[in-house]
Amino acid sequence: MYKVEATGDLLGMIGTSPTPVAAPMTEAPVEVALVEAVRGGDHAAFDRLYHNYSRMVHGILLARVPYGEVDDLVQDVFLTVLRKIDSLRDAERFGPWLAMITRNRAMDYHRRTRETSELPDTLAHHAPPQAEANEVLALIRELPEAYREPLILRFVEGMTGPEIAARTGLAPASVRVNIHRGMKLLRERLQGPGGKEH
Amino acid sequence: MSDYLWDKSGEPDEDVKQLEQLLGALRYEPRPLQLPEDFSARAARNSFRTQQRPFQWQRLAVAASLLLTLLAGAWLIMSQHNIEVRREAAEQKNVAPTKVAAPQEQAAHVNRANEEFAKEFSAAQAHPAVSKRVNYLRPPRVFNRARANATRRAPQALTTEPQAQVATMTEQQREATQQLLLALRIASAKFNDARREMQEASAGHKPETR
Repeated sequence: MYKVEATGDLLGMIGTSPTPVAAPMTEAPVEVALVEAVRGGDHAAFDRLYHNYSRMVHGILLARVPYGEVDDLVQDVFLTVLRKIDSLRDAERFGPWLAMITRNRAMDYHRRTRETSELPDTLAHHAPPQAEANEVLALIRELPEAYREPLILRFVEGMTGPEIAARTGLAPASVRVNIHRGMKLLRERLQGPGGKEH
Repeated sequence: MSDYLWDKSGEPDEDVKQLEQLLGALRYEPRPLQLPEDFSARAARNSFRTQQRPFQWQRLAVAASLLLTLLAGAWLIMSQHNIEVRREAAEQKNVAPTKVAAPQEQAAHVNRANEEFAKEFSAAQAHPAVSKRVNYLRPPRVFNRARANATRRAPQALTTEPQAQVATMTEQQREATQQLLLALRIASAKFNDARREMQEASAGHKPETR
């Protein structure tokens, strides 16, 4: 973890990132206004927060729980946000706060399914749309935890690196390093032991 | 190293583009949120709290009532024990030899006092000036030591029976005290559990900022 972050900082220092990361600077005041509006009971503001962050929540959940369960859990997470939004002290940190709630919800899901019996994948409500996509997703889930989230947010949800950093509150350099290292590992796994394309 | 992987600028790598197309099929399609009918953050929060509160208060009330019952029981047992101890002390004091006047002398003394009083009382009633007022007077109570001694238990009995009683009582009391202490410990543990659960439940409401 330290190694990854240190490399990320080093990359930032030597200027390998030509694109300025402006997202956190511009989004924070908007988030603050939206959070305040939601606290006042503004339905439209909550809808906007939902549309801005649902992809991030979906990606974080997809890195941890089965595909068929993700959609319902996204709804659960936003209902939790609605209940707990008064407890958020710093409205500028809404993204990281939401990401933490999402990760906790995924852990809670695994805890509950362990207590009960786990259904086989064939009985899942929603079958994955493409078997090949599901295979690649399974390969990403086998990667180290630090690489899973950024890769899924990048490839599945279509978010850019700066966007991922801004939404999750992670350091852009760390996200950058994790995406590149994760991609390298994924390429190796996709090519397989024989060096063939998966 | 292509920047396309980082911020989608520049020429895309072939495999990155393929992965985007392949995994993009799993992308989230936002669907309308099913919010509670009375949409309000405050209302939602309050309803959440009212759902949580009765359960917590129930447990706390049960634990508190249990503790109070045990405390009351302890108080009763201890007060009973104190009464017994005092009685034993008083009985032991009475067993000690004291100089007591003979019963015949005591009876004679009481009789003399009563006769004197009866004379004074009848003379006062006969006097016309005070007859009305005197009618309300009652004869003073005279302490009859002979009667008091007669109602008291015999000293020989005190030296034999109570010792056995004290031995059995202390054994019972010791057992009762041990049971009581055990019950208090259990009640205290349950009370602490309930309090800890309440604290954990309330900690769940705290902000989860990083």
